[in-house]
Amino acid sequence: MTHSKNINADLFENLRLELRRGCLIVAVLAQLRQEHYGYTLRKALDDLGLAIDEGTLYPLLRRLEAQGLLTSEWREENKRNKRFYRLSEQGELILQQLLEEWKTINASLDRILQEA
Amino acid sequence: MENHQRIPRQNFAGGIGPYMELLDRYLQAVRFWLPTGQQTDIIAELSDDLRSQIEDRESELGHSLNEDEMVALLQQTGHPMRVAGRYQPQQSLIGPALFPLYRFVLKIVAFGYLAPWILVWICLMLFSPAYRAQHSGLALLGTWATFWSLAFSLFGVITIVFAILERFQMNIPWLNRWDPRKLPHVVQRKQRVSRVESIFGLVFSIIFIVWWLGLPRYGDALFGPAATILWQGPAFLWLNPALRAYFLPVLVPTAIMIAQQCINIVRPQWTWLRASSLLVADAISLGIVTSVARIHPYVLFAETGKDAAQHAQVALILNQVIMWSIIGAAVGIGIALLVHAFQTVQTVRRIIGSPRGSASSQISQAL
Repeated sequence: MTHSKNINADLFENLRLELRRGCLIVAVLAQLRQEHYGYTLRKALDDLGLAIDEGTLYPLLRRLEAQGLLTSEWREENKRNKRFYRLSEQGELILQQLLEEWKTINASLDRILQEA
Repeated sequence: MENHQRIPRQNFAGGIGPYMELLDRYLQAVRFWLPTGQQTDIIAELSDDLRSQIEDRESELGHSLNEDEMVALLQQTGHPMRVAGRYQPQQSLIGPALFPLYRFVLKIVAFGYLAPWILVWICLMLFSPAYRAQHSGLALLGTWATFWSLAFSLFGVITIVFAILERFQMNIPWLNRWDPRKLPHVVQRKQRVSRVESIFGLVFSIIFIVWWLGLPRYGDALFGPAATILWQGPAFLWLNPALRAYFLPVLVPTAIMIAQQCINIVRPQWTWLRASSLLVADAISLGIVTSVARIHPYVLFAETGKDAAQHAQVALILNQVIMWSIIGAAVGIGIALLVHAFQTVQTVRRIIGSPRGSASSQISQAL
């Protein structure tokens, strides 16, 4: 019984991570319409109900920057160097497309769930 | 800085607590696992994040973090290797596209080469006293060392080949240019045991039993005087009398198959019965063959007389031939046992997991 509960918990966790993965990209891109450095971005997302740990966020930021969707620069603030990120022009275009896709998926899911 | 969100802070000068060395050690450990060209950049950013977390935590608590609190914070961040690993591009030695083929090839090697190797070794140890004598003690360890080195070499070579294929899979023509019309035809899984097959099997089983039972009495007519001499002796050569104990047990597997064939003529949908009967028959046959193999020598000879030396030579050759025949039979039955075990499991799984649901299909199988 406990074993079965553990398996279900693991299964749910895996599926939850899969579900979150794509959503996090959209959320990060959208949040970076305003400039942020990593920690403030995390706090902002957390305050809005989307917690993301540093081990997930920073590699994601690097990947998005490498893909040209973000720009970054190092600046000093509070006597510490921080890396500030912002959505690039290409990132803005991709974000629009992703949001359209998101709305389509969301509407489809709503219809599917209503029929079910 | 333009619009970035500022974190509200209390007037607490945190981040300089006595356990900041733990943070430096942590960052150093993360750095070790990072790609060389990005180490400084990543560590600077991670360091700032962790220091910000520490400052926030210290502001909440109103004091510098103590050792336990610092440890808890770092543990929550994750093991250095895991944290660093997330900065690496997603890598796999053999990706999901090639993995099924990789596993298939490994299975072929395991069942087609390594399993027979083990079976032959078991047979040699059971039936060949000379081999057993030569491979005891340290020599036995040597034999298994050979086996494992063979197994790991095969595993290594196959893995390397597939890793290379994975690396260059974009250039493998048959993965990119394929034609659905060239795929194998659909194999219809047997939902019933053919009645014709059952009837023919039954006829041959009965013929075999009749032939076997008539062997002692009519062997002379079937095989000439040699059979009678071998069976009844005394002559210069005769079968080991201990073998006679196995005369009737040899028929047990055939009797099981006759029962199965009779039932499957009436209930052809009981596919599980055929698979499981073959499995049981194989297991019994293997047991009989291994027991028979222990009765060495199988052929005895007259140790007196002027041709005793010649008789001994003939008996030796005959015993060797019989021994290797038994080993061959044991290997064959062993392989059949594995195949039938696999088929039984598949059949049972198919019945249990039948998409037709279960109820109707299981009732049909039961009836």
